Amino acid sequence: MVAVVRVKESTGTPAGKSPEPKLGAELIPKHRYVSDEFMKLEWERMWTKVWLIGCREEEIPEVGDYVTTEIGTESLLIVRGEDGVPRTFYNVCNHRGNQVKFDSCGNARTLQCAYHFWEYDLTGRLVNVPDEEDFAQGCPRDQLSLKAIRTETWGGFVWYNLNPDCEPLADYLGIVPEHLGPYHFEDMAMVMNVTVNWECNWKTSVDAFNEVYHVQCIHPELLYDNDDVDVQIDLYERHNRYLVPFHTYSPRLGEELDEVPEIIASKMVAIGMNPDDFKGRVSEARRAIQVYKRENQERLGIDYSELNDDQLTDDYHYFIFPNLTLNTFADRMMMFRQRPHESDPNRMYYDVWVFMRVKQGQPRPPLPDHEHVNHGERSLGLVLDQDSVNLPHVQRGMNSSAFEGLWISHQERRIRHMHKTLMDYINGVYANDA
Amino acid sequence: MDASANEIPFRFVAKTSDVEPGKNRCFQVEDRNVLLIHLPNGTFRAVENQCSHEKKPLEGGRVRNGKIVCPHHGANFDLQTGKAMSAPAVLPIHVYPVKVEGDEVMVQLVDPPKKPKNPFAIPGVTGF
Repeated sequence: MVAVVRVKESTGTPAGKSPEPKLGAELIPKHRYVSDEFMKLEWERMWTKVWLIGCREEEIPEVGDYVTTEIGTESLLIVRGEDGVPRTFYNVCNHRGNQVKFDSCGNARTLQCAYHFWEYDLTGRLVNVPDEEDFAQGCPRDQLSLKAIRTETWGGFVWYNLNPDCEPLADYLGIVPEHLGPYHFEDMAMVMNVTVNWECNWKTSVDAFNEVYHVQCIHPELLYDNDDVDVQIDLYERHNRYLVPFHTYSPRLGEELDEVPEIIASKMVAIGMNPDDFKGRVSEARRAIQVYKRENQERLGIDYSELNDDQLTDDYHYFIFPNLTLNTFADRMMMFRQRPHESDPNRMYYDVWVFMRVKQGQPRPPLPDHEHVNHGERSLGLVLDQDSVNLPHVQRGMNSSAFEGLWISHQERRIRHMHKTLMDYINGVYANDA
Repeated sequence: MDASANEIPFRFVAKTSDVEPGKNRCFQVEDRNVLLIHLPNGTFRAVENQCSHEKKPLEGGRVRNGKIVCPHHGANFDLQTGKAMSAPAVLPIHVYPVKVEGDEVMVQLVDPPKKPKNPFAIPGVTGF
């Protein structure tokens, strides 16, 4: 088997290995996954202090377009204003507490509560109260306008932070814009938007995607397309990544394969290569696909000029703390957003968003409808179905009195890194960042 | 099963006495490896002798309550429907219609459904 060759330097996304922080080898205590008390601490010290993705900009392209999104006990309303700027508000009318909007998306000239028709403009300012003279105490606008939440945009996403004194989004994202800017997520179109109710803690789900140790067990098909051993792991301040070579095969399979596996051949066909014309060794297929994509980028309709050769095949897999997993490829991206349940540490919401780069000269595809399903009601494809099958059982197992915590290996150290960042928030390390 | 499946002839696999009740055994029928399962209640089931997880043979797996347990990693499959009932398998195994005529066990060699070449493919999403 020929070892995977990686690019050494890259003008866009840095490709080099980062120094390894010392994270220790301690057990990760299980109470972080199962306890109501820890869930409350997470809410007070972490979820309400970090930048989170609320929606895509493409979901609210016009003035007055809005979406609602939930995080923990809060419902938020994101709306594009007359000035073109997206703003986020707590989705609650200050009259009697009704939610201003119940639906997941729509368009409105003003934001009118459906109960007594209190009306707010697109900047959240209270502009009309029926029978206003009937309120002996008056209706002071400063007090009764919608409560605004810090909002910024990056990468075609609308981000919000429940902490009014938070640091700017760019400071929070750190390395992310430099690393992922060359993929131009803003030029990608959302083609799938599914939320699944999962019976596990949000971190149980995050962990499932932050290690490749499980690939040999639950994804045996992927050993014929992925090198799950030669995986570069980079742990940054709060976020991390691993780089997984695609369109090769796992060293776990041993000797060089005799023929190009069907999965790699199908990827060749998808870009216009004829697998029968490829005469090299299977371990050379990844390089051949990179060269072909580079030479045929005009016909493929995608500008690869800002990406290095590895990025034309490999999964540049990023974790943006606390709840975003990005399987990033040159022409597509699959993102997972894990959201905690409002009251139960044993449940969560798993959002799966798929994006495709819009080919030059092609129209943007229409936005997909949002589907919200229970676990098992809808297939998410073989690989994600395989990922999800164990998780409710992991959660039940973690609740056992016989289980003390996570016994983490070196190749699973992104999980340990996520916990370090989480505990830094719990312990107040980032409390004074603004 | 579609109408064309009804036109596929039943082929002889084995004599009923070739597999003891409670046991299973693989037979080559044309180009297929057919695993014949003789349930303790005397009925027969037939499946492709391949686990959907790592494509290893199911032959010799324990049969309990109408399910076969893969002898390699313990996945369970319903022998009537082929449905995967436990991890690490997700996909079903292929089930062959079976009938017994006298002391002969016969199966219909219907083709297994085509699996996606790309395991990342998502129903309803093209190009991923």
